[in-house]
Amino acid sequence: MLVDLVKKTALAATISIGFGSAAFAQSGDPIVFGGVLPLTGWGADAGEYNRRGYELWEKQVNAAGGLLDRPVEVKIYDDASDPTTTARLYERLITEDEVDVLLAPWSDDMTMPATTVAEKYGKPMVTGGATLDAIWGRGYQHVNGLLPSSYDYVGVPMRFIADMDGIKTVAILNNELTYTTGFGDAAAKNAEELGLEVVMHETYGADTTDFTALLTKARSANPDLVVGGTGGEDAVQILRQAKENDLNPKAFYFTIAPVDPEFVRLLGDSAEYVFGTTEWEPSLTALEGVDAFIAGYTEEYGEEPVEDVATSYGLAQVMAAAVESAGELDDAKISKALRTLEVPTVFGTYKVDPETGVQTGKKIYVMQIQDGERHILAPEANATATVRFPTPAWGDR
Amino acid sequence: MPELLTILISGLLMGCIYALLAGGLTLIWGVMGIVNLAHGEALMLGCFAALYFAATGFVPPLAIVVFGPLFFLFGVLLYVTIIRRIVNAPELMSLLLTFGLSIFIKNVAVLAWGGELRIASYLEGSFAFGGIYVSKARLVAGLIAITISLGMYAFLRYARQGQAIRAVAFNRRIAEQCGINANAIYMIVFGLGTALAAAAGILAGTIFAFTPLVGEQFILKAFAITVLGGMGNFLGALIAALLLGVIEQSVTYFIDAQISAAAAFVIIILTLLFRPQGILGSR
Repeated sequence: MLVDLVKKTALAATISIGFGSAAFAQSGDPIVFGGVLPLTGWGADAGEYNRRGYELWEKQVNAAGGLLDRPVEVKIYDDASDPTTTARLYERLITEDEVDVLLAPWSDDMTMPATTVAEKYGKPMVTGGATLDAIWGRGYQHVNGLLPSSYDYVGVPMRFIADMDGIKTVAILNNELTYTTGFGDAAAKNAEELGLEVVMHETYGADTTDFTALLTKARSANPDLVVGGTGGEDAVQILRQAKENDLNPKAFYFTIAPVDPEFVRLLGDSAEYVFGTTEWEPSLTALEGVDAFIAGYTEEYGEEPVEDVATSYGLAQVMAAAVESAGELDDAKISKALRTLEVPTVFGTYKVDPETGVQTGKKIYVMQIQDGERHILAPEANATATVRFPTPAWGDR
Repeated sequence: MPELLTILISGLLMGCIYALLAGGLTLIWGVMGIVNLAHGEALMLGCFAALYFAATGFVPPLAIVVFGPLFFLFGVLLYVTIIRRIVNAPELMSLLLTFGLSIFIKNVAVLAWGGELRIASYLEGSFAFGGIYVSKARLVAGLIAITISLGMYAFLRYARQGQAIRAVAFNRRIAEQCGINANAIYMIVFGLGTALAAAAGILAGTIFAFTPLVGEQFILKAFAITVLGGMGNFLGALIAALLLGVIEQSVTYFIDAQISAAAAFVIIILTLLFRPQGILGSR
């Protein structure tokens, strides 16, 4: 995958350079949508999926006649998963490249500085792979969320699990990264509101591979629910080592990781019964335009799209709807539209609180791995399976 | 109490794998005076060797028997083509060269295999007795690692070639006067060091999921161990590695997992401040 990525990124860079300068002289110039993604480094997997979503959107919109009678062009820079670089590259997109519309970065770590840059220049931004409550706690006028906050991301499945028999205690383990710490804190807050006792809350280093000591500690605490504020690799290591250390809660819940197909591929049977949060699945066929989106993606990449692809595609749809509503490329008008519009996208409905920009329209789904597949358990209208609970002990599987 | 024994055993087993990695690093450092920043990449290649070995249906740790000699030859090849040129150069040169080599190998690996997570898993679960849990894969890996390390120590201590290696490390000129071919010794040492790191990788790949960047997670620990054990001191590295394994687990258990991640840094700083020659060093 990465080989392709490197080639395509190189190609994309060449194309942008080749056409960039000539484009200004023409009428019917493309409307340039610019964003920064982690195409290398720890966020590379998600970054690549997001890039694919933006580029598929670009292709499909141009095939359908463009935006405001002009073609669209997507321009993506790689921040190498470094938030400082993200900020610098957004400055460049805004001040040097003078792109028309901003696209979102990926993850809270990169979104925090990126939104500050966008707000400074009054450039409207809808954040994509970001849920940290702090993003919307700063009174920014040009920043809006596509995803609900961490509080709900973790809270919806926690409320679902807390309803099950015998869930009274919870152990929270979270990665030290900004977004995973946000998940850990959100889990603690939800636990308190749900009346669950937090018997352990530990933050581990981002490079941790050996979780034996932490899991031994968790086993002593004997929690009913284990919540992992994880990003990907760490969830895989934790679950494998939970098996080795015979940690047997009634339920495992991890953030982010379970929606990545890699999770099941690497863990096999050990991934069974794991709960997660999903914001999008290919089974949600009632969403507007989703058929063409899935068909287009499958044709291009030979596999079904995952959540991160739908996120960025939907995000670009929201930006385009705001541009269309404004009728021109006027940042103030686009910003205003983003606070008031309700936009149906392939990812779900976009609607934010007009005061804060916090997402209120998007549904969150509780997910569980069953027989190697991701299944939606709640809300009931979208459920593709019924819950399997409690999680059997490792020795009884 | 069973919890304490669980983390103690787990720390010691992890330490055995660290020892294998750090043993190679300290050997190259001590004998050749080269700080090999590409050492972690040999470990990474070992992880992938275990993966391919597992894919063919063999038990991954056995990859050491097949791939060990190949990695030795790989190390020899690196020495003959590249490393040889900087043996007597200032240390900055070896840092620059091996840093470049590290970046090169990592990126070739990413291009060849992609950046996704993998694991050469074959043994799952753990042995449990009286509330003590010992991961099966980790137990096998730790025992193999300590056997190789002790074998290596015996080789350096008692074998004629091993004595020649120590002689060159002690004083190259005098060793050469006695008829030892220092260049050949350097070649052997770099080959051995590379093979040791790869063996550590083969074993680590059966325990943890890895990407082509896995070397970065381990190299710092190897440096801390080398400093703590006394640069170039093989037995010191072995003891320091076991110590680091136990310290990491204990700090996570008793204090904080995030502080545990800093254990290696703290060890480097404290050793350099209070005992720069390392625990077994005599300088």
